Amino acid sequence: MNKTYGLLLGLTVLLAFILRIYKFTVNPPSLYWDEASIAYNAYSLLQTGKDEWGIAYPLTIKSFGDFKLPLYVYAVAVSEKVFGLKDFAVRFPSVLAGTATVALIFYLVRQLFPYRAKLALLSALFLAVSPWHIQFSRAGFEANLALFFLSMGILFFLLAVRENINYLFASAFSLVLCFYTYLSPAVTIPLVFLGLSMAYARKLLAAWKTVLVAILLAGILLWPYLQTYVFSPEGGSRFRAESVQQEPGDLLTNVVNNYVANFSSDYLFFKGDQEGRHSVKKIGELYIWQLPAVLAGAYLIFRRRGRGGLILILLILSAALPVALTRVSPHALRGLDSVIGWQILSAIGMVFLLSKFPLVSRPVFMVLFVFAFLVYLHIYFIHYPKAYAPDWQDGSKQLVSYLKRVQGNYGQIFITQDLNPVYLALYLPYDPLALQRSGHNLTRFLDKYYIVDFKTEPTRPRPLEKSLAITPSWMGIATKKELAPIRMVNGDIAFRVYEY
Amino acid sequence: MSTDFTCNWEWIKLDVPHQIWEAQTADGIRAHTFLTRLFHNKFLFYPDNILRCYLSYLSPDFITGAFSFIGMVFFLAGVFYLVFNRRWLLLAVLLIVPLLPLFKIPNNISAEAVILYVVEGLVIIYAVWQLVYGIFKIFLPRK
Repeated sequence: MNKTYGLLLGLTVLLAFILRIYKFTVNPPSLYWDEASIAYNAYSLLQTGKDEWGIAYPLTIKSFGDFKLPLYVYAVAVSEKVFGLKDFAVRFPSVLAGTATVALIFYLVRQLFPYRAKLALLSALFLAVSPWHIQFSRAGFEANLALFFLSMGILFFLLAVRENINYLFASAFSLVLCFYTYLSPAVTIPLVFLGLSMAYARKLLAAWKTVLVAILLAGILLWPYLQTYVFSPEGGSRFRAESVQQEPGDLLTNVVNNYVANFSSDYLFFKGDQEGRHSVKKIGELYIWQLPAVLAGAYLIFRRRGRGGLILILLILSAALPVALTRVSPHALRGLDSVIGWQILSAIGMVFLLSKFPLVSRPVFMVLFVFAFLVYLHIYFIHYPKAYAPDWQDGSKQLVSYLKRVQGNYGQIFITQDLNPVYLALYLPYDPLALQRSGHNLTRFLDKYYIVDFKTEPTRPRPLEKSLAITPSWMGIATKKELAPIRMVNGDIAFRVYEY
Repeated sequence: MSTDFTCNWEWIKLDVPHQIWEAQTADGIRAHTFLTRLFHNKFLFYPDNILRCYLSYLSPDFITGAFSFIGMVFFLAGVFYLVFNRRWLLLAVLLIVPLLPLFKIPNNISAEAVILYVVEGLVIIYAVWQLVYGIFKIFLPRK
């Protein structure tokens, strides 16, 4: 790699980092409840060595009736050790993983397509500005860290078969970490690595002893994972709840429709994932200008049928499988592993188009690239926090901050069930040790706080003291004195506050 | 096979003003007028919506709905072979037919559907033919 490419890669990674870290604690507007849960469990682990339920260094984190994989929580624990219990600490590991993935994709493409430094650079640039990847790199999504480990696993595998077989251990270790981070890659990894193994079967067979040791090592490291998530009824709870089997209608038809939905033009180029936390919803997961590049890239791959290209196609096709097997489709988060495949594919096509039609395609590409990027930034930084603040449970942090300030003035505080108690735990914050000792009994632990559903006026344990009632935005209590409501960043009311 | 061609010019004409209004409103009253006009105007929204509707008739999910998953795979293979074998005429026809439901030509859903599905079906048949021919070629003596 010459100095120019080194410099350009450095600039690309810097751009990726800026795009991921700029105002990332305020946009997305708030920690959503999974992030809040991760933050509190990490805090609990840091303070006591146990999660909020009192389990020491768990391999599975109990949260909202399902079980989370632990690695991102541990990463946040390290981050909280450095930065303290802040929103910054929860999202920062994801920012780092996202930025590092941009750098990794450069080296990955150089291994997949040797002597194609320009292609590698373009792939890294496309990932750096990808709305799909930026969306998940700016918030505490485990899938983003898993994507980093998956990219590293593939890169080390290619280094192993191309340069030194001992890299296979690094590859196996990366993949084990990926398994411990997010569930979707558990479907993607076996298929991608089966393809990779078939593509490089001769080299792997020549070093079969090393391969065997690496597989055994990975098996040993994965054994606790398998026990927890494959062989135990608890581990499968999330999968069963989210399984495509829960959808009405014919199972096979549902699986096929879910699978194909990941390749719909609407999803990829125009509207994106329709879950507010997963995309800005006004543009696709890919930019529209990537459409001709994707088509050209796919055509070239099938025409040349090279090993690198086919691995890429396999990655894209297999990353859609976890989405096909679950309820909601298309799903940008569960299908995140394909993002690197799409970016490399469009980079292949773009390199071809730029070299084939230089006079037309270069200025057109430059204009479209810059304009589409500006449109995206405008939507992301101006529209998104206003339009989708409720998707991020915005208002919860503001409410708890308010309560923290005024709680001394009231004998009892009644709070709507619309506020998830995890926000009280995180932002007051609860002492993790005391919570564990209470047997995770929030009702007893909450002291003056009472979570109620306001069907009737709650009974006041200390009737002579002043009370505060926090209701949902749509609920008014005409007989009580209304104080200033709690607002989201877009100015909408999140909670109403009454004193009596 | 669906004849629910709701993504069409009529719908675009009705919806685009709403989309522009929504986008401009989201910018807020304190937004810079130049930026609002630059990013949210009919010269961007109309082509975007037309392209979206046009591609929806060639999208894998649409083809799967019409011809099943296997049909979709053959359709993609057919498009590949059309380019590979430089069958530009059929490719051009394939690229033109989504314009019929999009602009409601000839303003008869059945006719639009027949033309669209027949052309897309031809691409599938072409892929099957290429496959059969490829297999058959293996057994032919080489010249």
